[in-house]
Amino acid sequence: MNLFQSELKYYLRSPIIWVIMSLTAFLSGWSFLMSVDIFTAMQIKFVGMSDAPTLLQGIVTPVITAQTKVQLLIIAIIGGLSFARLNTNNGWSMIVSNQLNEWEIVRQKYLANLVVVFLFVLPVVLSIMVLAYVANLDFLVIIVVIMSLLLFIMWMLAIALLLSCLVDNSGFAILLCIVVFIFLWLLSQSTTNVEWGKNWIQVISPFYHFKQINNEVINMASIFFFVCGTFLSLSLTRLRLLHKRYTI
Amino acid sequence: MVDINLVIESLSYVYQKQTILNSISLELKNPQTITLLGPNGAGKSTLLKTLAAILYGQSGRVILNQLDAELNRKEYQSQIGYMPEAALIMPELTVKEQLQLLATINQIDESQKAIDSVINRCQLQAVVNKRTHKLSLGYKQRLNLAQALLNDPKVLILDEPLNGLDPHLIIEFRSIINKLKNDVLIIMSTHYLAEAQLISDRVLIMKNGHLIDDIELKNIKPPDYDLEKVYLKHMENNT
Repeated sequence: MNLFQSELKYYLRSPIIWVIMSLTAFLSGWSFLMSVDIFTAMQIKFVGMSDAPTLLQGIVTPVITAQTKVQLLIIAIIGGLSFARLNTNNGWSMIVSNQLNEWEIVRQKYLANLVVVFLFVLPVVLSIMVLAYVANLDFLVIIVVIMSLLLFIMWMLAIALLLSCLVDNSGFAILLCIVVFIFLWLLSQSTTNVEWGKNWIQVISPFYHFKQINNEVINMASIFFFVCGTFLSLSLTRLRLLHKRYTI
Repeated sequence: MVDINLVIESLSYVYQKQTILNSISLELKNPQTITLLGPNGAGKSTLLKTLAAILYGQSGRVILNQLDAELNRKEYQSQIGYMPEAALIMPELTVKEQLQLLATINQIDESQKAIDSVINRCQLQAVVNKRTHKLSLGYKQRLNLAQALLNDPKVLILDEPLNGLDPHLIIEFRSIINKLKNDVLIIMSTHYLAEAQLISDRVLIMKNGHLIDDIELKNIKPPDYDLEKVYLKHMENNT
């Protein structure tokens, strides 16, 4: 039994997580079937259009984009609970008085949370893979789209872990995560001065970079943003643990 | 029996401009059970945390058999068993799983042997497969003690281990402590003066971050000596 397994057990032995997982699976399945249904119904109209949307534009991208909105709540709950809940069961005493280094604690907790969040998106990923197989879509493009979702989740979860270890109450940690995530989403909606060139406010938002990768072209700047942002947040989380170790 | 020599040299700890520990100096040797007494806010828990190398004083040193608590934190902590006031309870795990987790993260060799040993010593056999949040208070305290004993420590630090226990559980706890006292140096804090007198070989009285008395109880027992009277006298004198 290590910290990774213990963290997984915390979520997977919690009935509320399975209820939320069932609900999100239902919502994801429903939105996927609706997209397929609408796309099928629109086929007659598409025949006459010169730039009719492809399956990728009509189903895959909207479904994956909808997932990013659902994940705002899921990541806030999973990531928000990770460290903040330690106050209720005296878990910090375990964190500050053990022989593991801080980086190892962060790594094991992060990976366990990542696995749990991936379980939430698994139904959608499987549905899209099946659709791609049945409809003979280009798998490389599908993989890029799914990778963009995974990078987005990794980035957001790292931020959630950082926020979680900054506060002492798990409810507040979840709320703080939701507020920060919505703020980041709002930044991506900003159109201020966009006609004059690059909108730098948008560039801060992970939603913007998610869209960039979703343009069917691998955008290295956006991948760099996700990877570096994840690493930076986890490093700050490690520093926070180090600080806790010497001040608790 | 291994010789244990725990030395505290002019230890001071300040938190938010308030002096919690004021130049404490002590030398503790085994086999002894040492009890810290004092009112709330006297600095007992802070002193125990500095002895467990969870906190470090702004000045002074804590040295266990030549090992400095701050400079050699890992080696030092591997020889210390710390039982916090509030038990660490991970509701998602069973008693056995929680002990396995603690053994893993504290990098304990032969972890299964260590786990079996503490289960026996703390009489946890009946609840090994029970989820920790479903345990009674008595079993939670035993689990708390088992966690502190996992690394087979030379020094066992217990922060208010008797809190909330009923008389029957206090007697059980006392018998566990009495069995342990020959192997390890036990340092505990409590508000139960009668228990302190029964369990301890030495009593340290603290007030406002100062160590105000250091009493050897080895050879003096009631009715010749009444700890309660001595304690109350100290509290009145130093108000």
